[in-house]
Amino acid sequence: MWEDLTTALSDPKSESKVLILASGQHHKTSIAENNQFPTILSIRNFLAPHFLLPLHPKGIETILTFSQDNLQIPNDLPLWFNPAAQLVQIRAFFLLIAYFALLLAGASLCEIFTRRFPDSETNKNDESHAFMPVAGAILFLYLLLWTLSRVFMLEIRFIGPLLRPIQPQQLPALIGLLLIAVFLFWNSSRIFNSHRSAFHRRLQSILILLLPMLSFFVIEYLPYFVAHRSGWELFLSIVHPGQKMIMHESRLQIMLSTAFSGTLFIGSLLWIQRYLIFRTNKRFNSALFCGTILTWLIASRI
Amino acid sequence: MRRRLVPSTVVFLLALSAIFLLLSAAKWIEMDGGKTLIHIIDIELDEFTYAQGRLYRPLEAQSLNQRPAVILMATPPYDKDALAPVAIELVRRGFVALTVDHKIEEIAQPDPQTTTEANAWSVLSSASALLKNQTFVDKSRLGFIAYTIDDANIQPDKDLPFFKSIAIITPQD
Repeated sequence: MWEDLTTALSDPKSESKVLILASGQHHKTSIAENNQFPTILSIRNFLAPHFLLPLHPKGIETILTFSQDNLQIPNDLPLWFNPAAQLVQIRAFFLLIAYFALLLAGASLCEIFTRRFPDSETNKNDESHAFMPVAGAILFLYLLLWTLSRVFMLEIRFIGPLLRPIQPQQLPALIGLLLIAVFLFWNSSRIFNSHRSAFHRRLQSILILLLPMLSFFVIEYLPYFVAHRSGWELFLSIVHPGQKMIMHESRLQIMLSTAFSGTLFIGSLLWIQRYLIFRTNKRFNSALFCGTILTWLIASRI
Repeated sequence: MRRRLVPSTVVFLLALSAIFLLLSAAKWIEMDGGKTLIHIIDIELDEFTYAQGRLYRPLEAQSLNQRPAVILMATPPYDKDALAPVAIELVRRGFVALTVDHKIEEIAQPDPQTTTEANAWSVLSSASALLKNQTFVDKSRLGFIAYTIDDANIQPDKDLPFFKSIAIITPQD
């Protein structure tokens, strides 16, 4: 398949260079047998999931070196052509923090609206007033995202898909998804509603946010100090020293990326839920807000 | 109601300021401190359809100082933003980069008598033609970078452009 594509795109008159970054060794053998490509530079395992970027920095580095070798930017360009000096990771980190700030802005607005629409004096436990503050906050979040996407022309990796329009035929599934998500967050709200000391509540708040992220960062980056390679590379070298995979590597990568994104989403939403409950003492409001955001995230990726 | 350490209005304003600050910093990196021009452009496929693309152009790329260009394309479920990090790093090093979407948009209801079926490969052809028409692009040095998790179903009868450098990124075994 890839052989056909690269052959079709290669210039028959001048020598085209081809680079295939694939996880397995299949291409290497098939290409060597066919020998129909002008040049294969390297086939490496640079598709490891990076937690902030869709492509591992080493993969970007390989592509930059490959492009420079074959397309040759003129000599007047800076001599510091260093493919390893990348700023996109810092940018991805900024976007990640912006995502948390966006959730916090939405939750604060939900709190402000909740105070604007207080419960009636006769029935303090009436949760029917929950809809208006949450709907207002969600609507504001959508408008804010729309404005930001126009002002900064940025893709916010973790929330960008939120802006995709939802098709009418998706609506029944979305309503079902919303009900399930609200139910799940309603259940989890019991954890935060317990009467504990202020210290325990603050510790809980910090751990909810940091533990899921920290666990991933420790797995990926701690092995650098011990074995001079990332957790993913260490894992591959230990489990599959001879490139014989017990599981399809692409599936493993997709699984790990999804696990990281999912942990991050759920962790951040639990943190926001805990924040809302602590500030407003409204369990249903918080469940509805977080459930809607989760539905929105999942729906935009269907 | 529990005691609030910081009023919700203050938290909201702080969060809003943080968003603007962080996105500005991210934008600064993306534009390499103002040394890069970024255009969202429509790549015309035929009179009824187009695909969206984002063109990253270094300021020094001029008609008297033409630069090599690279087309970056990711197959579904990824869109033009999936390869944005690669495009940003390429343009910081002097390349022109064009990330293109797979999704084909319709301007009007196509006439079945006249229109041809647009697909990913026609997007690639049109993107290549668009780059070749730019005065700041060195037409003899075009590159192509693809990122996909699917197999490439190539149709040999299609009139595809040629590239000097081709990089395929795939988790396929």
